[in-house]
Amino acid sequence: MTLSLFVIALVKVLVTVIAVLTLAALLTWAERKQSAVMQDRIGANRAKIFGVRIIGLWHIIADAVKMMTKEDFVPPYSNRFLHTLAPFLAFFLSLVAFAAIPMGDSIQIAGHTVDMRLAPINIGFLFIFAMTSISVYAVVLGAWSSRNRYATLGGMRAAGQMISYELAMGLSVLGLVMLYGTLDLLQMARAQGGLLWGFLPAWGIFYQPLGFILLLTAIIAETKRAPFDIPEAESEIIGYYLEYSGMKFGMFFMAEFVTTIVAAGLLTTLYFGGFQVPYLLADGFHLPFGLFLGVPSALIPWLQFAAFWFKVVFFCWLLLTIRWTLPRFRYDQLMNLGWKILLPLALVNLLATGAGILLLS
Amino acid sequence: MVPQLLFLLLSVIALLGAGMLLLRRDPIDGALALVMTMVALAGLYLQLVAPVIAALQVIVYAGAIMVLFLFVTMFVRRSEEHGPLHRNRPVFGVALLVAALLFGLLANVALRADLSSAAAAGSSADLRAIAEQIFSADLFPFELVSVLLLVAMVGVVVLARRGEES
Amino acid sequence: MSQYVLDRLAQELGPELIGTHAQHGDETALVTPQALRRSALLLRDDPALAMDMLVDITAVDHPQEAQRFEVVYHFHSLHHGHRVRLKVRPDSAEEPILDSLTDLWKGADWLERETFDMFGIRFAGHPDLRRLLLYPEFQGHPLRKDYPIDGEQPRIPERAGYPECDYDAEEDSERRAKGLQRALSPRVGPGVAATNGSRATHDEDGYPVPRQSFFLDMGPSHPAMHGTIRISVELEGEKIIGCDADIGFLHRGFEKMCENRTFNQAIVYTDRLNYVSPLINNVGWAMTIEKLLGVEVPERCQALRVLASEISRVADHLTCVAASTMEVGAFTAFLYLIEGREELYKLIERLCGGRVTTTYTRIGGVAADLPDGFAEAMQAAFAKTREMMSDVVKLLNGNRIFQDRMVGVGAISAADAISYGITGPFLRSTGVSYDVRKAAPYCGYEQYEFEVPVGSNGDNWDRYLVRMEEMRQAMRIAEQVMATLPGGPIRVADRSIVPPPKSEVYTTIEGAMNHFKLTMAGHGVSPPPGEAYGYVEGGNGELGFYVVTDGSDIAYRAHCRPPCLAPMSALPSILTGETVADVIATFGTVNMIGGELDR
Repeated sequence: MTLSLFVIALVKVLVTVIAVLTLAALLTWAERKQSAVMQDRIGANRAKIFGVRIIGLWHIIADAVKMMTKEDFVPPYSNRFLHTLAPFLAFFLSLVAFAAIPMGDSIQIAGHTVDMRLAPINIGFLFIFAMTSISVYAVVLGAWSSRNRYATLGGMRAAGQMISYELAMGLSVLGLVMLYGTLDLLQMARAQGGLLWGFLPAWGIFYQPLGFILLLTAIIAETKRAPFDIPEAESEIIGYYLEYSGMKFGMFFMAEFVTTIVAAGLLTTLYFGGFQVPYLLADGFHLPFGLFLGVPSALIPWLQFAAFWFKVVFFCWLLLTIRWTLPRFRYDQLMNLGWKILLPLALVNLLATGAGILLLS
Repeated sequence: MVPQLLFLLLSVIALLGAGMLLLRRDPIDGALALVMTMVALAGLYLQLVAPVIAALQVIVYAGAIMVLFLFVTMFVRRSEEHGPLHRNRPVFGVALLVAALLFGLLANVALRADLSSAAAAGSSADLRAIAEQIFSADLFPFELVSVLLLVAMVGVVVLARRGEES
Repeated sequence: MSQYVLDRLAQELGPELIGTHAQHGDETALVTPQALRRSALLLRDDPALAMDMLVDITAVDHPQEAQRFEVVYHFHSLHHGHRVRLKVRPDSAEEPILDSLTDLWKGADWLERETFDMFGIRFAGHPDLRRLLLYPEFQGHPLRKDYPIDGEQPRIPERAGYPECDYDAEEDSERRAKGLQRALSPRVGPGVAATNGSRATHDEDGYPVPRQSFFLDMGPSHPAMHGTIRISVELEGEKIIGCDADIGFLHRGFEKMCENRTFNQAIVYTDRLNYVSPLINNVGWAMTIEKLLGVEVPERCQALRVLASEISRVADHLTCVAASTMEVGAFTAFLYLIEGREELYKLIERLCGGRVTTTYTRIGGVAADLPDGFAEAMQAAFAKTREMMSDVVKLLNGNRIFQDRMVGVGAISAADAISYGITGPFLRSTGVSYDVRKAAPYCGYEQYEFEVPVGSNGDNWDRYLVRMEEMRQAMRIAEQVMATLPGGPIRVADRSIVPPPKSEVYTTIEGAMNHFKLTMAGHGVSPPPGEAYGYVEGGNGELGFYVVTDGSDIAYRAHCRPPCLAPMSALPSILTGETVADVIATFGTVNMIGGELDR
């Protein structure tokens, strides 16, 4: 009994970690390739094995090999322990945050109800917020232990930015929490299964459009990607990981992509129905105008799993597109946006949601 | 067996952090030790089946307040310049006295408190229960604390502005 | 220029005015050192003269004469459009010293520093007379005639102290601290210099008070400091409270080299001045020498020079706008503009065989006529450039983030800009409509229709818009040139300037002799003794060459007035009060080009 539970848990861990890391690795390639397409370039295509290039995909491996074999440089006078700890912390925290995101509805295996997420945490996104909020330390420690003024500036920018945007991030989601009456991401995803007015999927975005935009903005700021990439603004201060080389830099780099995936997963789960396939109920597709398409129930978890990852990939694409389109904010402008625009708007959203719930119930 | 071991581990980490906070000379090390303690405490809350408190502990204390501490410490002081620690004897004595008083107060509260009911409340402490507690039973103290914080905030702004002018 | 200026000077100065001349149309007055400030004040404040811009300061060394140095000032009145050259000879050859004009024109600051650096002439009253282009340990003054062209400098020991990867040499920091214009009290420890004088650095017990500010060296190795430059900033948080620019990393002795090569050989060096618009430099140099020779190039040659200049101008502005967009994070816009520039570079390659090292002009003409199919190629390249520009306009002009980064940032007033001697798009963004192509048309610019766009606030946003519009106007001019291209020769017929065609060289003895003579050392193109200042509208503003000849085929003194020196000298004061991120955005719109700035 416990053995089968153990095996299930192990499989879940393996599947999730492999899925997330694979996607993160693919994102490193996608970022190069997508930016190349957007900028009329060709993009990475030089790596080849036996003359096969497969549109530059080998670069993922080439990058990994490069990072692994580079000198691991620790600047003199720096705190070696903290300098080493920081990238590990960044990578670990970004990865572990994904544990709370359900990749599908619960399924029955060998008499057990198995959640399609790593950790059945009923405080859902609070857990993710907790992880992102301590991931500030990774940045700050990395910056501080480098003993470099650019890195220190970057670390200070990151600390200020992440704290400020956590607030807006939390408040923008609260509307949904009030709506669904739970913090549990699985419950939230389940609640988005029906239809709204008979034709719209009952996704969070249709209830909370403002909340979605606010969360999208805040979450890009949390991932520290353009236009909010001021902690690592490469043309100004180069960034908090200035004094990192080799795989330690690689871990910061990967942490950023994993955070992007977590952000995409969170956006999907909260506002885009999570694993829900539009119009798909327990027995099949219930399309508008009374159309019905039966689906065998064994197939449904697979469809949900695929739908979840499809949406995550979509959001990853969206975040990349934004990153390569917009210029960068300045620090004070970023603070103004966070505190003077996003935060009041999130409060207004919260008030309006509360009023709506009171009036309609 | 496992929960006991976990409890032991978390307690040791928490105490270790607290000890380091007192003993380390570098303020940055001290702040990091405090973070360690807070994360360990969050783990203890989790063991008490109070996940919301645990999450809030991490988000608010470890994730926000201590980051600000670090932020300010790093910015105002660079650690290589902290000179020899000069103990000011009279102040040291006063500090010891205050610490003893505070410890006595806390011990008093801890010994008197009815822990059985608190444990029962803690085990069912989901978000709804906490919200009800705060916004009905303890509404007045809660609002009082918010006003206090607001006053402190205004005070800080005023002080900072004054420093800027002079 | 106007004779009136000289008359007025003679009337006011009396015997203090040693002599005047108006060679090649450049009014020149030689005054005594004692009368320098008086004449400068007169030039600036007399409403009939109103010389509001100090264009250039340089010096000429005559080692055989008692008053060895001759310091040369060029003034320009934007209001009246006239110019004058003021020359002063310091009395002493060993300790040459003159009054500083830094309090009259802000631009005099760096120009006097450069003159001090190159000639060792001191300026009394200069607030911060340090070397500008060379390093503090440099021995001697390289543009003096007794400094050999192959002079070697001793190796300098490593500057003391890199305590924490933070560059911290005491003497260097003192040197820079002066530039930061903040009195710095003694340092309290490694890392960061002490706070300014008004604040106590140590408390009563002798413990250091925590510092409020720190220094940050941006460059010379910094991703945004392209062209190699160091901007040292003193920061309070993100805010800049002190700033200094350290230039000269690309100094390679352009002027010294031009004084040791024939006039045609020096054209190659001018490629390396502003290396994104080398064609304009070629044109400017050739025109200055032609002014000394007193020849007029044929119409077709003039039109070709205009064409080359305008293509180059578009490439120059594209680079500048692209770099400044990249630096605020709009990487995609950068690559779009660079793609447009690529087409123009290909066009330039068709014209002169090189993309950057163009060497297109010759004294008395241009190297080659247009290749076949150039008109069509130009049309296609312009179409591509326009397409890319319109994409960028769509991406950026309405973008709130971009606007926030540019509008109101790095602003300078028109009066300040003029006082610094700023010209070009930078000056026009402040609302002053000064363009050499309109103010003093050369190469037949007066025949072409074009507008001179001006801004109003002198901030990054206006500079961006002015440059974008200038590119459209430049393409318009180039298209007009192409439509009205006159026929005829592309070089002057004077055989003492231009060698005969190869067919004559290989078949006739006269041709071979002529060719041989012109390429022999000592027998090249030799303008009569004299001096001239020739100027064109470069990518960054007025690009001037001041050349003194002694009748030989090598310039006695060749000086370049780089257009981006003036805005760079204004940069520290523009940046003070802005934030770190604005350093990058503003530096981008200054369009500093190391090649011409450092020479």
